[in-house]
Amino acid sequence: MTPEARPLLKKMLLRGGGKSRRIWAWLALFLGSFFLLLAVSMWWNFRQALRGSSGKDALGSGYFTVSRIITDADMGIPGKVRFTDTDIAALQQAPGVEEVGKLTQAAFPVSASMGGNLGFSTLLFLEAVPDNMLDTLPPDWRWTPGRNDVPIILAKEFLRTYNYVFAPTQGLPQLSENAVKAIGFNLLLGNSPETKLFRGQIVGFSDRVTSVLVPQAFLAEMHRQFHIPPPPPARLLVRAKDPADPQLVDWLKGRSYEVGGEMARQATLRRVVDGVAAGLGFLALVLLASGLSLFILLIRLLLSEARDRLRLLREIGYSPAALGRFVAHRFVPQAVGALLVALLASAAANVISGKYLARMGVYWPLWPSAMVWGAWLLVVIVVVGQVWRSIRRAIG
Amino acid sequence: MTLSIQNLCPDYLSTGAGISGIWGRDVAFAQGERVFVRAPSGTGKTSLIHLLYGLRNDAFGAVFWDKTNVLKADAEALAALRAQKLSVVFQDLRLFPELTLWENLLAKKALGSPETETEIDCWVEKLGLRHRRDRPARQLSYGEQQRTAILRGLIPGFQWLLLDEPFSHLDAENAAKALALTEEIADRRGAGILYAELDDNPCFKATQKLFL
Repeated sequence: MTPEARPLLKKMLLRGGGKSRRIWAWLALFLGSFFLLLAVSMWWNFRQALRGSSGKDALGSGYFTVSRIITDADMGIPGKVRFTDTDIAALQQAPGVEEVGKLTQAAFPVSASMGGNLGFSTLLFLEAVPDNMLDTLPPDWRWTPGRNDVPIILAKEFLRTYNYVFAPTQGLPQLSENAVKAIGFNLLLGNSPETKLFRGQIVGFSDRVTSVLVPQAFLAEMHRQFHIPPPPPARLLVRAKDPADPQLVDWLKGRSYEVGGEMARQATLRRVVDGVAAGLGFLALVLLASGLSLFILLIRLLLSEARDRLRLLREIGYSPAALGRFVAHRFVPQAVGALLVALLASAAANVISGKYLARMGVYWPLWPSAMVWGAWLLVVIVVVGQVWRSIRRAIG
Repeated sequence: MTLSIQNLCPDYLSTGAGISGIWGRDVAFAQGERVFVRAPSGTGKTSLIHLLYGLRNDAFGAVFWDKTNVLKADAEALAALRAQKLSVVFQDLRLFPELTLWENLLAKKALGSPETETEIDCWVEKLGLRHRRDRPARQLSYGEQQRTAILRGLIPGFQWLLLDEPFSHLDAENAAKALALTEEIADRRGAGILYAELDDNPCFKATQKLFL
């Protein structure tokens, strides 16, 4: 078939079909693929957000704390709640676990006090975790033996509780993070007569660990000076690929371990998002199937109207495959165009939502992931394959 | 390209053998032959042309164009045969009604032709159709449509041309012109002609005459 056949074939085969019908079919195909890509993008990005590619992720950083569930029988038996080295080694092998850090506790009494008009004094506890597992590392987070000032990282949750619960009910002023950092206080360690006095200074706030943290070096040195061996940890800080991974959740449950509330929330959140994404994906698939059916129906209608001309073309020597290619040349770019626009639209939606979520501290990949590309490619293959098949069937 | 017809008989004609010169017999024709098939009404003249052209296959036996049995050939093989080697003028013409006379010819030429558009235009002139060139086929008289169908049949570089009552609606003068042009082009191509007609046509220089 020479190129001069094209205008004649166009006149014979591609006339009619209705412009509005073509627009509707195109729109249906576009919308179906757009929502499908959006569902895939949402599902995948949410998983990423839950895994936490950033240490300060609002939806979870991949870290969580583990402790033993205290039953009625365990009450009053201090050793029962602690983790042995075997427990820790087993946890390190749990599904998806990447790192396990001990939350070492101070085995000596601690109290904090402030002089002046405040006259504030309280019993306190101290813990330490490896620096690499902290979500914040202030510049003055360092302690060496001989120094009198001790840097402290306080759980943000404690400050929130103070500001929103304690202070209003006690008639005390709310405090900003900067204000708290500016206040120094005395830190008294040990029992009389063997006590040690330090100057405590809050240098940062942690979202990850609900505790009062001091540098590991400080706690180790104090245990050495008080001649007390550090107790086995009662809490562990765990970094996992995906803290909401059902396999890991089951593994922890099976050992009667309790996890931090954040992780439980994540697991629930993931189930909700998985459900929403699956629902949206299903609807999108239905929409895409309808769009594709409409598109194919349009082609079939057009070719059905040209049925006699097609038959005659075959009779005078036009190859069905060549005729199929000619018709496909018209419709396949339209279909791929709709899918391409859907990809661009879903990428734009992703960028917009990513920028919005970034303001809320949520890590959300801006560009389409490999999963979205894969889904798009699959949709392209299916759509082009179905369009080609329907053309060949109609031509005979 | 050799035409070999082997024991061919349409399903609906079970008693053809013995009477007909083609049905139920083994016959072969070399390229370049002029075969005239006289076929009174109801003997299956159009069926024969359609079977030879591969438009239908509801028959016993085989029709070989060289090694291709058109009764068993797939659509692509038939398309390749019809595009270049085997041409036809249908009794019912089968033009594209919405295309002009000229476009009908171009639709065939687009499959490949040894002739240029200028040469084809000369043929149009010879058959007295120049003034109707840009008219849609449906607006042509039946005689004009028949001449258009003949011209279309002559366009490819065919090796065999099948004619099914091609001059039935032409006056003697136009029929003579059309036959002369047909034979001239077939001679130029070294092609064979299988011409089926109700009655004898003494103007056609047949090398073989058969009774269907």
